[in-house]
Amino acid sequence: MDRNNLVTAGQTWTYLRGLIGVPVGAVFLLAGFTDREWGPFGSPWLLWGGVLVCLAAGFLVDRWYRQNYGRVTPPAGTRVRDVAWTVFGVIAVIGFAVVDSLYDLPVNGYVTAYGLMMLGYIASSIGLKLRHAVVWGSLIVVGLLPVWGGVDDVGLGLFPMGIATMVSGAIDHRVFVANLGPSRPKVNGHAGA
Amino acid sequence: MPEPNEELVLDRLIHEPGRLAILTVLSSVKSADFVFLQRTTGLTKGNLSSHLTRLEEAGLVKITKSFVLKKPNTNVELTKVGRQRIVEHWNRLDRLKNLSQPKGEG
Repeated sequence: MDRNNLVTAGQTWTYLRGLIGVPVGAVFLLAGFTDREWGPFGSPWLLWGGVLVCLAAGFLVDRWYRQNYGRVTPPAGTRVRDVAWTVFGVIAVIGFAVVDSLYDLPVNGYVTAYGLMMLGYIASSIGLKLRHAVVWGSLIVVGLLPVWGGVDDVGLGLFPMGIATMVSGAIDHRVFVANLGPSRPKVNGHAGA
Repeated sequence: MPEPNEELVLDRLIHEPGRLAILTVLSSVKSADFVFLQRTTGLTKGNLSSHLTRLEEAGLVKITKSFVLKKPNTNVELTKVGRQRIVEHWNRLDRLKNLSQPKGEG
């Protein structure tokens, strides 16, 4: 029996269900395509339809995790910390975006802010690993490249944000499965949902 | 015969590997359901049910049964006493481990 593995399994359950990040990343990409009005994405209805599909996908992914891996309720302090990080993250991303647009900075403020926020959130929840540093560090580097001045930061920036979110989620899911074993349809008649 | 050192006496109810695993997992969360406990401890359904019943009878865990999406769901959380006992147990195991190491190590 490895005490650390048992404790870590409970502490990381919320954060390593990475497939939830795939529809979230897809929403970023959809919004980016719509902003650029590429091909059929000129119609906002395609965006709203896509968002609904992504929401449904997120719900199904969450249910799949619960059915196959069970359900955990984190301690109250952990939930408060997560909400605080989310609020702080939204404020930081909007704040950086406003500063960026006011001064037309050569960097992409909100891509950088999103990467920093994710790194901080992960560091405060499950602790930074190399995979997080690579994915989110790369996003920060992309955001800090001095090529964003004078272009529509918001629309283009959604693409690296979406890709980073999806890649990070896919990698976290692999770690989750490595920790808890492959999925199975049902565990002895008990529903995890 | 010397008196046993109460600080080092292990709690037999908790020290059983299956129950120790269950309580250790629960110590890191507010609550967890049956499926998650089975996943993390590797116990069979029968063994897990049996251990949970003993832990509930001892007042170490609280079990809540409900239906979620028309399927049975068993949710388990540590009681205040259970949380204290598992912390004390791991502290005792750590002390025993330290005592068993030759002086100068660790």
